[in-house]
Amino acid sequence: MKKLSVGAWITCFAALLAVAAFIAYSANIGGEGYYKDAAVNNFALAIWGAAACLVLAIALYLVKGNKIVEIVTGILRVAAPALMAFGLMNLIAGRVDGLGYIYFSNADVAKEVQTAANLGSAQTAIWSMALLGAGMLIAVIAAFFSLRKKKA
Amino acid sequence: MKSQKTASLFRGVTALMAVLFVLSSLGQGLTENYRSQLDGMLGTSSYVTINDESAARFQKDYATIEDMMAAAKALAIREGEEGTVVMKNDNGVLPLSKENEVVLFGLAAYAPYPYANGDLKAGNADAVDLVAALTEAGLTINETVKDFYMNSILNKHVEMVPNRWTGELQESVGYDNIYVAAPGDMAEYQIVEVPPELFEEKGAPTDWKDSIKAGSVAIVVFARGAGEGNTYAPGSALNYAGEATGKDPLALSDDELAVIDVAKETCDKVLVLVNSGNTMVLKDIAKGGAHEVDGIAYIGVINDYQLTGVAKVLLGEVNATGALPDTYVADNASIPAVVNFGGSYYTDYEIVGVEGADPRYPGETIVNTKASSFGGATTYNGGHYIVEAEGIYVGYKYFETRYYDAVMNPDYKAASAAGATQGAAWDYNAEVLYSFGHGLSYLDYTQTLKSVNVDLSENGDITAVIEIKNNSGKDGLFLAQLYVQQPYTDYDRENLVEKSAVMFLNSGKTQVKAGGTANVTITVPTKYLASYDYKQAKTWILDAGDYLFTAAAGSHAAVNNFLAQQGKTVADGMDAEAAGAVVTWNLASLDNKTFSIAIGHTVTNVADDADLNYWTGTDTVTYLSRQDWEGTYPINYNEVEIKLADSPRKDEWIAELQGKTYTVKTDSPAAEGVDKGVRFNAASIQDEQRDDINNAYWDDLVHEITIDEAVGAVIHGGSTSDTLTNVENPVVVQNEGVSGFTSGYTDEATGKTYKFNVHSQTLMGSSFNPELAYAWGLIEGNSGLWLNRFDLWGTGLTQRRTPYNGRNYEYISEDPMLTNRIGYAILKGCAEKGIMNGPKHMGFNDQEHNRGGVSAYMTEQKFRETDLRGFQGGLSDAHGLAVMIAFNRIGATNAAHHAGMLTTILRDEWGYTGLISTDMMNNKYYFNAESMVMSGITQVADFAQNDNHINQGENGVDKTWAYLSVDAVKNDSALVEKARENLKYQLYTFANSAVLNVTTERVNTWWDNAITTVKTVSMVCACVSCAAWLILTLISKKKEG
Repeated sequence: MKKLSVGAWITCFAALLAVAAFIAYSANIGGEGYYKDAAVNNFALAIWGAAACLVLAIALYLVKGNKIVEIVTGILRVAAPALMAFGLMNLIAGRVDGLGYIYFSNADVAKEVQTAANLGSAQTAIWSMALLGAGMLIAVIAAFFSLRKKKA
Repeated sequence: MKSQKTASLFRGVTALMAVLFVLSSLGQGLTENYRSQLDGMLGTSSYVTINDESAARFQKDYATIEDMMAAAKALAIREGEEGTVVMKNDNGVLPLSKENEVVLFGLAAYAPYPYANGDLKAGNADAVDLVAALTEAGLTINETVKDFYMNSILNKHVEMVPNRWTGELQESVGYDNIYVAAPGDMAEYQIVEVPPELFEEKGAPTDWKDSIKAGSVAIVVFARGAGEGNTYAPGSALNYAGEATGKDPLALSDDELAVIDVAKETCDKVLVLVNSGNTMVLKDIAKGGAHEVDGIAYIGVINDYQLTGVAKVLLGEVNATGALPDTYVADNASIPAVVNFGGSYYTDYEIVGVEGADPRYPGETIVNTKASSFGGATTYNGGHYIVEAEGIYVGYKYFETRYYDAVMNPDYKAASAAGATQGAAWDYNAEVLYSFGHGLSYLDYTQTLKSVNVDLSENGDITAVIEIKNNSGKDGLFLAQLYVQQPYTDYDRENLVEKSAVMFLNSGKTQVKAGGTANVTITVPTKYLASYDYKQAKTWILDAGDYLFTAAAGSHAAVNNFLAQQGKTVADGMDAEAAGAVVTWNLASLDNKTFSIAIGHTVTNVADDADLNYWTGTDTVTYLSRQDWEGTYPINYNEVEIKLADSPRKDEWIAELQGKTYTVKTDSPAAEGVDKGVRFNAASIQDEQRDDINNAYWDDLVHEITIDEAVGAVIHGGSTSDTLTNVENPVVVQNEGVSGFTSGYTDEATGKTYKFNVHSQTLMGSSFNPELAYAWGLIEGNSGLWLNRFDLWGTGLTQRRTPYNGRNYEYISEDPMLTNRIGYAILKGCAEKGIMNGPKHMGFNDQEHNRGGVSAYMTEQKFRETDLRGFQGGLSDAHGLAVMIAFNRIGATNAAHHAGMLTTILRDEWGYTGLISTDMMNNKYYFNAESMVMSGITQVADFAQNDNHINQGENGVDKTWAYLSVDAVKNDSALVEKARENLKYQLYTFANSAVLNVTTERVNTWWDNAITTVKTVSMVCACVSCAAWLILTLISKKKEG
């Protein structure tokens, strides 16, 4: 682990955020409330794809550090935030209607729709988006850093 | 190291750009979905409305109002030219010669019906009456007779009369003597025709006869009025003196015949013009009549300009091509439908009434007597009924089929006494004076059917080619008529599937040079060849056997062609030899599949309960069947004791008569409408929304409508459709009338007012020309665009079941297919101009008498093949945009409650997506709000505006149906959702009409441009930085190596 650079740690963090976003998403569709069973197309694929890219990049670098590996890991580190962006936009598209309904209905409707379950459901959706958005940003930042530690 | 650092920088930039590219690409799609909301939040506009007229979806065809008016006027003149029917032409009375003076007799000669301006007569300043039309055509009119008629007998003047609706006195045209323009509600009808014996007493000079020159031709005009709420009563005629004569009011009175006699006495020849929308009884003046005249011509109910066209026909300037849209008989009592007409009470009708026991109206006493045609009483109005026992045998379908069977099928007892009025045995030629489709041409011609192609598929057409040969020495216009005979089989006899021996399909006209030939191609949907089998297959069927097609100048000539083709001659009882070509199309086996599915919906019975036998549980009614004319000829079922209490379905029957077709449920909560920001506007409604009612936009839109407003907007549809709160649709004002928009257009520059309601329904019917009807539809549509009025009750397509209906002048014909084809063409023309032209009064408005409640009992074959077929062409084939439903009941069910007719047939089987209106809601005990919603009505016609709620009454209940409120309906999700669905159809129709007659153009907002820029730049940067990263990575490795 001592071989891991700052870039690698940031990359790991981005992968963790992606996983956390997925956990929030799972809670969102598994729990009671407005989004129960409302799965989002391609979301799991995008998240797990992104996390896998990041983990694979680190793993490859730990195994060997040559020209090919650097190019492959570089591609994986570019693909990961792009996949997260793809997942994020799909999640937003699948949630924006409901969020508008829950938070922006007129007063009469809001009384009926703003139940604890629906508000909780909306919050986990937002958490999922926030975690994924953060993961995406961190992954972009990580791409600016090398995975290799500076030689002493 | 430096290159490594730089490589890392480019890799990071690549990642950043890739992310931005993904976000902007997907974001662009996302913002498209929420464009209107983003516009609202960001204050931008994604659409600009192009208001210049060239960008309108529905364009006017006329550059100036003068051009528009000229086109309407020309069309009206064509109606006169093509609709005038020469019924009788002996001794060369027609065409008239300019060499001979014309003497006009009869009040209607100087004041043709209608003389008053209104729905039927536009009243433009340059309107042409008969005197003007004949004079302009070059005829000389006897001034002496004209003078005493106009100045002494009629004496036109202005008088004050009370407005029918408000009672307010208003100026009206009056005459000292004039025919009765409105016969009243089965009241006595005075035939006000001044007899010649009173001429001098009324002011004619004693020597008036001396003024008439030798060789003069008399033109005698007789009129019969009509009107809303009016129905003629058989035997109700009074003479000029006001004495009851016991005669049919539609027959010529002795006073009228006396005028004929004096015309015959003073002139060389006599021509009678029939000026009526109600088929008159002309036996006395027809061939062999005691007062036979030389010529008879039908001119229908005229409007401002038709008489110019009529005069052209009378003078032979154009060929006579009109044909009779109805059968003219010697005695109206010979019409089987007349046997059951008017209606009477069930024996125990009172048991339907309640004293406080109707939970909808606690404490109220509600009787079951009939209300007036305009409502106003506390009654269910369910006591009256008629039995339409004649089935499909209305008009020529009865007379020609019976004639055919008299020759072809003696076993059917067509020659029996049943229904005979002219002798002990029934005789076609004694009973019928002029057949449907009859009309004499000045120019000799033949019409020969050359070919018929039948495309036997759900949406297939019959295509027939008819050759017209002009045997005369003059160029001219000619009429071709296509008829068919379906096989009448053992299957039909066993299952009481009735078939007319001849059925009109369609017609067309063409110009043909002198001595030349021309082909007319006529098409009609094949589905109309099918018959409805309500007993066995319970769907549309085509029997196995030969289908015979022919072209002929009328239904009688057609049936003779069929008889001749089947080997019959005069020796077998035919009244004339015939040699018209017949083309046979054979169907090898019974087809009960092809038309049993309509637009994916299985077609089966929906009106079993329209049959009185359904309720009585026995064979109370014997419906007319051609296999036994004698045994099944209708009796008057109003004289049969019908007791509700004896019915095995007594409770169900009474509930239906009380208007409880649907009862509000309480166990299924409805979803409240939620404002999601979707709006009815040109920006949101683009082609993809207009083309598809299943587009998600429409459901999103109507699910914004609150429960209160969804139900309220339907049941208070009004004469104006209000704006819905969360929808923001424009207000849509409804307009009358059947002759075109009654509103005038005033040119601000000149101050001149133009009125475009110059059409005549009657003459359009007798024109037999769907192309003319299409031309009128376009003109009616254009006039709507000029007037900025888009919703019109602008035609009538009810079948003329009997001659006595006071609304026959608004309808086309006794024949469903002629009505169907004319209706198709008018509604198609209007729809192409974005005008919602709603035909009246779908669902058997067969009489105005007790229209608001009378039960019309019938078989489902009649239900589907007669009145409804008249509407099908316009509403289904032409994609019409509106329809008005009849007042009466079908069976015991209010036509406006009839889900089978409105949802199953109209929506599902016909694919109709337009608006559905009731007639005037005049009785809350008869019109039941929840039942109308559930049947599919989109707007109940009341007269209020801004009342699209069910909380406007005292204590928040509905102002009309006080048992309704938001609390009362909120637990009936089916009711609320049906109301929203009905409004969906209505809003969809508005969007497809000229109500939304603007073009919008999508423009890019600043955020559109920003996203596009980010997308493009990020894509380029990603590629460039990726390349740079790869190059630097490789260089750094080489250096390291």
